[in-house]
Amino acid sequence: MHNTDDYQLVQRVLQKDRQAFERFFEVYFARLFRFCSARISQVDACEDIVQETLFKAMRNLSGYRGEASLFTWLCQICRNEISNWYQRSGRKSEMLVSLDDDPDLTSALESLQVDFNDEINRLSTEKLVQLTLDYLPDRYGKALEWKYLEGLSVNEIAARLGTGSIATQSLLARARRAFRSGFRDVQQELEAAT
Amino acid sequence: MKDTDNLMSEHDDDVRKLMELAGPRAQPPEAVRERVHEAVLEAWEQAPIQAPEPKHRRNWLALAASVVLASTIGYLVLVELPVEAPGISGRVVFAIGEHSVRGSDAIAAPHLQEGAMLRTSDKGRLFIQLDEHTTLRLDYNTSITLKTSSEIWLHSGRLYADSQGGSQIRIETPFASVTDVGTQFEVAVNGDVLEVAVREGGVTVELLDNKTLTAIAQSGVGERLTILGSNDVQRDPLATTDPSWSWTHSAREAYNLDASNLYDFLTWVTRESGLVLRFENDAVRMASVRSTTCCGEVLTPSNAIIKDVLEASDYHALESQAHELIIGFRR
Repeated sequence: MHNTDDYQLVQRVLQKDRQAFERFFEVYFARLFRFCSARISQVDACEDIVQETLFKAMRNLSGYRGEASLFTWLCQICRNEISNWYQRSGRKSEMLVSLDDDPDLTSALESLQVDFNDEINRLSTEKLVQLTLDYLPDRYGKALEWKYLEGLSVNEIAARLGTGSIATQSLLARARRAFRSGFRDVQQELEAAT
Repeated sequence: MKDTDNLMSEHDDDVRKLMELAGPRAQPPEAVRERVHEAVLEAWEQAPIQAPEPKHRRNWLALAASVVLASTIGYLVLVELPVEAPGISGRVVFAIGEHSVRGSDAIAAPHLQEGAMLRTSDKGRLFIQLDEHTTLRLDYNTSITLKTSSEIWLHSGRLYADSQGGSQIRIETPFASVTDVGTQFEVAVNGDVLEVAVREGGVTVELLDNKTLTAIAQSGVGERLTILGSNDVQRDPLATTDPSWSWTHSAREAYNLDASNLYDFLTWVTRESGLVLRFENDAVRMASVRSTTCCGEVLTPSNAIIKDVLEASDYHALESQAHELIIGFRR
């Protein structure tokens, strides 16, 4: 088992720990909503799909073994719900975002050695980056947002995380590596979905 | 912003640029959040409580109660754990029949210790995850001791092991030691007869007089060794899809299609059925990882289930030998 934190959170949710349930909901509801919104534009439909995903997750939580991350596990259920929604509504899969032909973006993507093709060119930076952050462990995503969007210093991030500055630097380095790797994974994920 | 950021040697311009271009993550509408939270909270509150993990001490009263229960209802799975024994990664993940771990549900008390004794009665079966790659299934009336996570004593009954690239496991019986070579196989002790059946890969069997036998499976045909003594060994071919393997299906939990992609489902169903899974090409294999399956649970793997799932997808089964399932895109 590789996802010990996720597994322990699930065990606590199964044991009716209300705090754990709230933590579970806080971390995963918004992520699943964004996961769904990247594929379906209707807010009402996403609400139904995410709710049904979480219902099914609650029913099947005891089957979560920690082999994949909890978010990956939830996404698989959500992906099936999205697929069912498309079948029920008789629609074809849509890709919401439009071409973002920003030279800065192009440069940034090239620095990540991203392969461009027609499908990927149709995706916005926003979707790719936000989905990537959602796939990262919660602390990684938050630390990157605090540093690069809120402009917090390492010491300020360390205070929020309750760790030392060296540990925070190390965490930021790991988060950046995970972000780069995750960015490519999310890209492939969306590429396959189109 | 004064800190040690600038001292970090790692280049972060690419990450910074992307983060700044993307901005903060979008949050779902608060009203939606509240509605979903209320509904999911209600569902969670109504879900049955799962027992917490057990403390590692013997509960004699509960054990005694379970024995009384066993004698009353006639079928039971017993798991008996030693006091303060070192832990192994094994855990019970499925049981049928009444079952007990020191008075608790075997599923809710999953972590097994070295020296744990597991016993099934005449209607009990167990599924045990030894590590990430290795599982054991116990048939009715089976008794084993987990000496370590890779060494199991089979005292009586029938055991099925599935080892997919994990550490080698060794099954000790009163008549021989059976060691796997990354495989699916079955060992049964019935009176003074030892049966070893191989479904995938191979095993070596070391008899009490140090004589060594091997049994292998290839191209859909395995072997069954029936051993009465070192000089009385019968060797028979056994198809990997032979119905005699089917008892193993009821010794595991149902497969949940809701949380599965097509690749995972096909991998599971072929492994459970004794089939070899192949893809027409790597593009099919890669695409199947991203493909969803229909909903529900699968209790028993079968050709009919494979057909149903594939019909609801963009894939189909190509013509193949009986022991193979070859998947291609539907055209």
